[in-house]
Amino acid sequence: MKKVYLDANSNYGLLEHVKENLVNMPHIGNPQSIHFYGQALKAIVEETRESVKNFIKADDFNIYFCSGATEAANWLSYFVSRILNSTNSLMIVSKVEHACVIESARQFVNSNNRVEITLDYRNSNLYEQMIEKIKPYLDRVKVIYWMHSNNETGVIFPLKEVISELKQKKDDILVISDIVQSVCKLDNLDLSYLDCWFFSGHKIGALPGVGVVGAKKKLNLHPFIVGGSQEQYKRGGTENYQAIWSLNLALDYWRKLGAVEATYKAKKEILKSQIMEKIPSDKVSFLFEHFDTIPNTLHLVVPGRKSSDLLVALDIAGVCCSAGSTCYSGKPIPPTLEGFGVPNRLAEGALRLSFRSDIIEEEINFAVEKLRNILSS
Amino acid sequence: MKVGNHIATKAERCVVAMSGGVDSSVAALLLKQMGYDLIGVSLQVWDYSRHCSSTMKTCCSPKDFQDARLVAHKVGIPFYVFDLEEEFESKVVKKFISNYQRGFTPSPCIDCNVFVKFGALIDKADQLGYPNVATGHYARVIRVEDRNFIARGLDQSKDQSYFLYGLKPELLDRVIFPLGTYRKEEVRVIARENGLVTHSKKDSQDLCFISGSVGDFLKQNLNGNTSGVIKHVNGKTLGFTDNIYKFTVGQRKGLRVSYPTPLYVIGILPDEKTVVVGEKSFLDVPSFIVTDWVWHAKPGSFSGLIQVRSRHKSIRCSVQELDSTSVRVNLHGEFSIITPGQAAVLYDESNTYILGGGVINRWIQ
Repeated sequence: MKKVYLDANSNYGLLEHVKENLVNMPHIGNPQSIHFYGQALKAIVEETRESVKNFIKADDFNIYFCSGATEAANWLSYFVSRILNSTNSLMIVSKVEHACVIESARQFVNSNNRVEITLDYRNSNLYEQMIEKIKPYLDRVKVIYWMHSNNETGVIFPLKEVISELKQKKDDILVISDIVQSVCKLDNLDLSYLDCWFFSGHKIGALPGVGVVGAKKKLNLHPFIVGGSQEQYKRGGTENYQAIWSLNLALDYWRKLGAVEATYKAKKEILKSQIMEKIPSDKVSFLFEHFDTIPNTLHLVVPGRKSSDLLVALDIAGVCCSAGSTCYSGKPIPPTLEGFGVPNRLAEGALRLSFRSDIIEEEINFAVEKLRNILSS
Repeated sequence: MKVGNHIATKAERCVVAMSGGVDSSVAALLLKQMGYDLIGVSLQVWDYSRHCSSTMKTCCSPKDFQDARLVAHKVGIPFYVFDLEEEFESKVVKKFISNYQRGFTPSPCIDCNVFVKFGALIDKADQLGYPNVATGHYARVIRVEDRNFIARGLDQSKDQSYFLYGLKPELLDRVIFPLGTYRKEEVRVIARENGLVTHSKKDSQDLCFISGSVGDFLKQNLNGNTSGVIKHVNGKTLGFTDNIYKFTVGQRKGLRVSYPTPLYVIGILPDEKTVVVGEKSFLDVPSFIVTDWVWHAKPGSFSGLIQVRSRHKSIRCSVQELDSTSVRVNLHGEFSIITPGQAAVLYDESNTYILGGGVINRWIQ
């Protein structure tokens, strides 16, 4: 049966370029070993580190590998807790963060050092909302933990502008950002105003099991996982050199491909216009399209229907998508939508359609046709 | 009279409820082998992380979902989890508690079958365009003259038809019980030979939503307001109890009262906070009223065999219709323990298929 994949934000899927070239890498040894095989693997790890630096344009960052964004987020929340706990300073964290951020922040950072910010999806001026919500705490703010773009809704935050404004009044704020859904989807990604960022390999076509943390060179990250000299003693444990090399190959693919934003945008426009054309407007609503959004992600809600039912019906029909973050799969209401102030009656019918850059129009037509059939029954 | 196995046309779409046990695993396998266009579903009915320990021997726990998923993958069918917690809580758990407060001893598995497995699940199947729903119950659907009936599974030791009497008769041409003609040992062999991870899994125990005792569960849900007295039917107070709900009609052991003759629980009176006990002869009830009656035969008066507990032998009786939802049952000389709240299920003269069933309401002395 034909299947159309509209869940690229949960896992992009291994790129052919990666798959073909992975077999050529050495498969024995340990990157920490001094012998021939160890040296080869160590070279792979360091070569990938350089590739990340070049791709992200991150010369003034130290690059550390870990197992993925969830570990990275936990690591950075732990780092923040060591700075803030037992002080009077605050961490600002948005309530629309991925679970790995908001839950690790709650786990490690004391509640009296943490302020969680909600937003209003109806107000298109995110800049004003963010400034207005953060400003009352500005005197005590030491850390802002805020994602670059939202994994469920696709919303891109005006983080650079907000930080620039806030730093005019308080220049010692540490800014940490989840850039998972922005890498390889937005051209000319500017991360210069951030102090730490992280992303996962499997979101850009590498193997799962590798994450990247970028930390400004001036920062002395305290390790979260200890027990070895790997990653300059910042992250113990044998490097997942296979996944790390797959990341190198994926970055190579995206570098050769060049600008992708326009391609994504054109395809998203087709998807959106097809839905608007074929499905009556009372059956679907776009709650986030008045914001800047990442160009491969279209979030919609189906009032009066439950996401869990729709996902099963779509899957049976051959359309593979999700309601939101797969890390929250099974929960009736995605917490991210709560953070955006979306009422339950709308949130429970959420669908996230996120596609790969190589999706073709025929697949988009197929998916919209199936969605139309399901919503008309 | 023609009695045969219900076999649906191949290539029909079917949803199979997979609890993560060996029975529903093999049911899925058999349906797949028969050529059904099949999806497997597990029903999320209870938040075990909130209510229970992870070591409960029940169906539908997270570990069971993992097993069901593995089996579905092995069988080669899609697998989904349907969230039916709201339906389960409102139509099974709350009813269970309120029935105890009436002095009844309810059978929640029967309500789960009626309202969840063959209620909400049927609705979901309808939405997805799947006309058939299958489960791993040891029961059959047979055709007698022009009607479908639920019949006992051929493995009498595992027969589960008693729990299914509440299914609406009009649903019976949509439900499939692939294990109805199999013996449990055969099912395990099929599971083992086909490499299903559930092949040696122990059978689940009933009351999937209670990790301790029923009495403790009720005490917790009734804010501890469960103490009362134990009285003889003659009115004499024999003792006290911290929890009147830990007793069941017919219970002999665990009364902890001193009396010259063996005593049994005769009734629970929550309004009077009293457990009534008496000699065994008080339990020999010749007639009783059954309400919420569901007819599978055309309504009327019948002679047949009545089963009043899931594992009790059925006994001869006559049933007289009182109104559209209640009947009077007159026993023909044999006695069983008639417990208000339990199901009374009437089988035909050959003790094969169900003519009707309902909830025991009260005795007629």
